[in-house]
Amino acid sequence: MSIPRYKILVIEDDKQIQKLLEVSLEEHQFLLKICGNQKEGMAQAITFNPDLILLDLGLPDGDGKVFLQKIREFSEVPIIVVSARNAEQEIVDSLNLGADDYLVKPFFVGELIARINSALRHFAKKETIPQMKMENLELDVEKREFRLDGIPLHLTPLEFSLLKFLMQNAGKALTHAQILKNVWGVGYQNDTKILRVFVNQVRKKIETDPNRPKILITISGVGYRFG
Amino acid sequence: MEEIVSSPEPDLVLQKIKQENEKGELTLFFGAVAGVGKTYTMLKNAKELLKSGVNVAIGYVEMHGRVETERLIHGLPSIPPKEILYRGGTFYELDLDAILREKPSVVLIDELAHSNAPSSRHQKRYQDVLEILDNGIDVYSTMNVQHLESLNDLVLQITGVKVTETVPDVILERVDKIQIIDIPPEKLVERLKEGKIYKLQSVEKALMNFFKLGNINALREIALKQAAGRVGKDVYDDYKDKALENWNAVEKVMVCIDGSEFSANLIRHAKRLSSQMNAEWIALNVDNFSGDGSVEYREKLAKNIRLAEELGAEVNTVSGQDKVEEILKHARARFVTHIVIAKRANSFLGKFWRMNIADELLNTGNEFCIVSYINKTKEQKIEENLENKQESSHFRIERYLFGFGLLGIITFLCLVFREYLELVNIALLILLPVLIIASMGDMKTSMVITFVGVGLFNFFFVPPIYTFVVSDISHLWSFFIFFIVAYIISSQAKNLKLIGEVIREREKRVRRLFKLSRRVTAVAETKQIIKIAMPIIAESLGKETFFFMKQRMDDIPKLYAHYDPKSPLSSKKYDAMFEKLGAIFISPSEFAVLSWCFENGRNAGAGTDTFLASDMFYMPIKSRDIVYGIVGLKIKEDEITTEFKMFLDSVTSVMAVSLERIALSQKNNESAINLAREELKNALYGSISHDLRTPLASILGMVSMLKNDETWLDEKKRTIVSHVIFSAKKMERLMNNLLDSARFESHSVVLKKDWCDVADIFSLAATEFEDVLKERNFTIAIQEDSGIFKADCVLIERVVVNLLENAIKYSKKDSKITLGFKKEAKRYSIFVLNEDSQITADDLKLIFEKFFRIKGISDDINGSGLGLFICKKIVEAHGGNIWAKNLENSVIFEFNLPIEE
Repeated sequence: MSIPRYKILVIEDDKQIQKLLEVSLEEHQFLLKICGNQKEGMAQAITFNPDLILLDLGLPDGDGKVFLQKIREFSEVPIIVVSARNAEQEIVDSLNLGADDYLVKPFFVGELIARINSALRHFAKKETIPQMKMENLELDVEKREFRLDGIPLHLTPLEFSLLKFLMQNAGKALTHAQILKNVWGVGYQNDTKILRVFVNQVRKKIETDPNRPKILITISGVGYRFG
Repeated sequence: MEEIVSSPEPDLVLQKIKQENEKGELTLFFGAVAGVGKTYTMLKNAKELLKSGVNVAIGYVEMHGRVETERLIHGLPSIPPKEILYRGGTFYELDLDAILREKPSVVLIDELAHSNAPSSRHQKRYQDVLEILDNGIDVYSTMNVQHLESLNDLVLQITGVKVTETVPDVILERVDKIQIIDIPPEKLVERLKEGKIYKLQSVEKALMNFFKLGNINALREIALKQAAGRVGKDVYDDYKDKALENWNAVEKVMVCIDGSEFSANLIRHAKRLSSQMNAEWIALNVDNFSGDGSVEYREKLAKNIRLAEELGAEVNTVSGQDKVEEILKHARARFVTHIVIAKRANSFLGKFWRMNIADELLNTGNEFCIVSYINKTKEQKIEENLENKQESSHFRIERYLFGFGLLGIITFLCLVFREYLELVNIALLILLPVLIIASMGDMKTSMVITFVGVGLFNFFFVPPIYTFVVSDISHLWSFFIFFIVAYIISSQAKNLKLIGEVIREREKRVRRLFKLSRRVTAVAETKQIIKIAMPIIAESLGKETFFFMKQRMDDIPKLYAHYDPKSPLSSKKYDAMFEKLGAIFISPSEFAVLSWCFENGRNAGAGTDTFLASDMFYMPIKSRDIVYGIVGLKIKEDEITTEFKMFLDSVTSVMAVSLERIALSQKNNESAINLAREELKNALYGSISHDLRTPLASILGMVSMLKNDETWLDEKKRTIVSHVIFSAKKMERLMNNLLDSARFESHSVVLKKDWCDVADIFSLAATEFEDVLKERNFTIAIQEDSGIFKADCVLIERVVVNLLENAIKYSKKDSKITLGFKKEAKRYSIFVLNEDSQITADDLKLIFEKFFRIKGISDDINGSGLGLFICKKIVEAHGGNIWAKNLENSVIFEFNLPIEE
């Protein structure tokens, strides 16, 4: 047992999904605890001390968002919510309440593992690092510049702040409101038009094909994900 | 100095705009007499309108056989008049319904004052015109000055001809544009002689009566004055708009009316006065119980009230003993400046007996300007004993018997006890029966009894006894006092009795209403209200009563209840109201009246001025412009009195309030039920979609694990697993489509509009079919810098995904697919274009229908047939359109959305 194994708490009531998660996650070397309701989940969140929580929103003992709110009162642990399709608002609410990412049923195991790893990685390097690199895009916080293939990009101050915020939260699902609040400030949460315009501009500067973005990805009805 | 600029009175401006927007414009060609060329000018104007492309139509034009007119009519479109057969004659009347149906912009209607043939909808043509105007159609019409209601008696004075066809003055006020047609009177007479006005045969008669030079001149003067007044009013209105006038300084005229013949004249005087002053005017009737309870008086009063209302006054009735005080009180409450009152030409005795109200008013020294007109006409004294005569046969004999009996007994007793009684005591005792009879309010009987009493007293007790001779002159005085006492008491008693009767009648009515309203407020069902109210109406008025209702707003009215007070009383009488309604025949023409009544919310049928040929009187039960039902009464025209209407008014208003309350609470309930249903539905969809997806998620998850791990299965088995995954995915799509179409059909989708970037939407859609699109020549065409619009992004993305999926399904490998976006004047348009596939014309029609499928190119295309149906629903929810069409070598699916800011 040389490599530390990450502990994952699964809160999910469907027996088959429980089994699926058990098999697939254990195969990827995660340590698992599975519970079927919020009450038990809350107890395990304290005693088991997980590195990540996988939370189904439709639980028998109430709305998963309430659980989310409660746990965020005392813990920063990464949380991935699992929800049904056509529930964009639920996803947006969960993310705004502090969930780190989400998955939509039905999902593939590969996608699930990728999300888990991304969330764990993001949590590990929470403190801001002066230098960041993603594929061919580089951020130099000290010089206040982005470099694409080593060539500095011409960005307006707002474009820079937007790109910086996105990159620092790479891999995480970000809602429109979260981005607007952090980059433009409180009071701009609902001004999605300005966000659309800026994302469009930034894409033209960083994407090879702005019509088929690969770096700054849109999450339908929710927001954006970087990388 | 400070200048105060006040804004124009907002209500007034708004009101004007409103009127201008909704109602048609009335243009009146106004002349002094017939033959000045009103119709001619009207037609000429119409021709000009027609030339400039306005939709003009002739509604009705009187030809009078005039050649000039006939020539003009040529070329003007016309709505043929309706033929009405009445008593053997054929009448041609304006076809109101045809005009309303055809809706021309301007309709020409000659002779505004014309009276329609019986069985027409309205009694008068101007009522037709008003209805046309209410429907937003402009009207051109003509009228001569003598037809104006308030000038009726003036014209009579001038010409000696009584004009029967009149138009209320309010119509003139309703006129938007007025055009005076005037020619010199000499020329008019000349034209008349040439036969240009009437055909020659009738010329002599007309000349004799009307077309005297003096008459024409006088009428011209009146016409010009009227029109000048109208124009003056327009200017005044204009000033009001511009806030140049102090609105409070406006004057108001109040006319005091009663049931006399002269009151009608007074009303016309007041109307003229107020229009000359450009002032508002009201009418007041003070009911002081003073012996005017006769039927004739009341009918005259009702007629006068109607006249005042027709001339545009608001009429109020107040009750009070002191007329003068009531008049002043009302005048002050309504900010009246001028009081118009009749002054009776006093007889010599009347001067002492009772002072004139006009004089009394003057004597109070009030702040009003009192305008009094002297009533020289001799009032036909309404015979007071008319009533008494009617009841006499019944009660008078009994009264006489009683009076004589009492006198006899008293005389006998006095004779027996003569020694113990003074003469004065005897006189007082004999006065007793006189007092008793007089207190019954019967003047004649009490006088007879007095006479007999005096006779008995004289014969038996006044010396010399047993003769009618009177020795002492002082006794004669006592006889005289006898008569005076009897007269005063009986006249006072009669008054009291009348007041009592009026009060009792009112009290009874109030009690009935109170009973109705108390019982009705506790009821929560329409049927119950009808059950309570119908017998009250029917029994009080003694008439067969019907109640009509509509099930829905757009329905035809149906008979809901019927109550006949004459049917035998039984315990089930009230329930029988709603039964056997099918057996009651109501003619289609009655239903036409009913429909009109429902639509217009006004009284109709017998005794009104609308559909007066009907057998019934209809009164709508209306609250806040909503007609809840109609009460119909089988009644003859002359039976409808003001009392009757007042009673029905009060009952129906109580009913209306209750019915409105029920309707509101029903609506409340309905919306609560709808809300609950909506919530339930949403919860259901939520749980179905969750419950169906969860097992699918585990199937897909686990199977994909099998596929991914190459150590578990060999190549062959992995292909099988791939098929399982494909089928599961297909099932997921099908499920999504089914759930979505159910959601759209139940209208439970609320659009979440936000700013969307079309580039985002396109790229998301393309990502969904990434693998397949590699095998197609796929391009995205977005007009530069215009890709951001407001819509429900997720739903629009679904539309694009579905359209793209179809394009992929129905296209071959390497064929061209274009996803495009363009901005048009007021819409955004998104299209999907794919090469090499055409849709047949039949299929194009059905392609957006539910469960419709075209057989695809490869065999494994079998969608749910819901994709395009959902697209259509989403686009329509956004207020856009979607369509498909064949182009050369390709098919285009396109939808547009309105631009929102």
